[in-house]
Amino acid sequence: MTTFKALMARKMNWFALPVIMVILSMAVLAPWIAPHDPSQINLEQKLTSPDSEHLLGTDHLGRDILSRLIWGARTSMGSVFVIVNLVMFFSLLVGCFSGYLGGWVDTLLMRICEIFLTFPTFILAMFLIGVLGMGMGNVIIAIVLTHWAWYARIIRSLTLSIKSREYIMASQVAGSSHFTIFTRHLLPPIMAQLVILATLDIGHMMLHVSGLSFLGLGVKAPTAEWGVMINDARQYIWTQPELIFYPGMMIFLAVLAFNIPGDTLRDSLDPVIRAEET
Amino acid sequence: MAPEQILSVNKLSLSRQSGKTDIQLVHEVSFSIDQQEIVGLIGESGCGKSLTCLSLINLLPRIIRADSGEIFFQGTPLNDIKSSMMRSLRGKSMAMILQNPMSCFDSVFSIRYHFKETLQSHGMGWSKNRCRHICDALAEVGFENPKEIIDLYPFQMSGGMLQRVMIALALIMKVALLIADEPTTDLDLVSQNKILCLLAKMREQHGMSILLVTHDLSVIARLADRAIIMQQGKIVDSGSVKAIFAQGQHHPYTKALLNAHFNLYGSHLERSELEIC
Repeated sequence: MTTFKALMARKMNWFALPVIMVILSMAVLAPWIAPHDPSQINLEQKLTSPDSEHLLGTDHLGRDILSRLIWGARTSMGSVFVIVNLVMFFSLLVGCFSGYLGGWVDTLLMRICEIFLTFPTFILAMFLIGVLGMGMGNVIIAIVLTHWAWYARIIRSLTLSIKSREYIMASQVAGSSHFTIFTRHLLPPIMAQLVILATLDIGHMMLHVSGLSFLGLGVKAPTAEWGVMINDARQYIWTQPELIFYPGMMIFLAVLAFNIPGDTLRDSLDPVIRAEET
Repeated sequence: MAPEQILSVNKLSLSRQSGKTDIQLVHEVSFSIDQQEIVGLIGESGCGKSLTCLSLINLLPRIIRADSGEIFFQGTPLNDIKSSMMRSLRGKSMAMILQNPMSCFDSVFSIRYHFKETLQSHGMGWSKNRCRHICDALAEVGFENPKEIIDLYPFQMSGGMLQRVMIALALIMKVALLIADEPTTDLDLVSQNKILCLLAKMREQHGMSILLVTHDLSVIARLADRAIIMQQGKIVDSGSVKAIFAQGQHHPYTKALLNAHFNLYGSHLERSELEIC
């Protein structure tokens, strides 16, 4: 409850949290709140202006924009959610082990990381999809495989810097086990940094998913996805600019909204900053 | 009561491998500490004082290797001891006070949590009773309202206060040996005085043995029973504090130290200060 209060004490969150709530409920409740079938093609009604039937108009195939935005939240947010969690999990595992244990484990894991770091992420992702086959699942696997190494590197260096702090030593001297030291003194500061990093990267991941979808490697044709919608609307940018504006606005709002609580969460949980404010 | 040996170190040598050559850091250091005795370990920066301390609690940095030597703690050899056994000794039977108290506490957790962690590491649960013990310990190290102190975060306290919390942590575990690695170096004079008085009290009332590591001869003069003087990884002089401070045959480094001390503080042993606190 105190965390919630601390979050609410920041005015920025009065904007961010409702936006996140709306986007998440769009994703979860899509089948019930979408007014139309998002992939229902109706060429007679293509590129119509907003009216009472289609609140945001229709696209070049006559599909309802609002419904596609709502269903798109599900694909975009869902895939990004899975990707971010998987990336955090693997990089935490590798980075912490590497940094904490050191020695040959560190050398081995970091060499593996470097192999992944040498490839340009997008090319490697395309290659992996080429090998694995198309589809959302494989897009997720490809993006996770191409991104974990960056995170692992950062987590390793965080682990190294925190490991050499004196309070870790003091904790060892007090007889704490490695498990206690790891979970109590090492993981919380790492997570604090990682959450910020991950929230900042949500937009980047979203663009990755849509970029791959644009190339025809990700989401299959009729599925609604914000990135795909931008790509569809590209040809009509001069005649119907609102088509590119709606999904772009959604990505913009989502990225913005997810960045703010990530930052303030860290601030509000940090006792040093909390004490300064009171 | 015959003095019982708490710790004895026999020909301890430490080295660091760099390339193909070994750099000898600590060379055949031997000393012992009796029960309720305060032994001062003094030497210049980088002479191996802190490394000697770390090897006592088996927490040497990875690159430093113990080449030879035996360490006995309360009669148990520590050389081949299992790491889980060693861990149960750390904090419970021997505690260490580090040089910079400000960085020895995790600023994310309150003082209460730090006590909790130490207690739990040694299989002791948390209860109302325990909390009272902690408050008693905090009161004993000189906090007037321990109930407020216990919920403070480390960054809300001064270095001297935190150093006293460190001592309270050792006190609550009833350690037999307290290793104080330059406990007063980072503190102002008033706090230094408090800490030194407190260390003397720990010895008198709780029977702790203390290994006092410092490069300040005046600290040794006030507290220690015996002093060991190290230079470049070797013990160059040792003996009772009175003997060290008396004129006589000494190693050149000891003489240099004494001269420096006398120039600063005059030529008498200042024991009277202890009565002030």
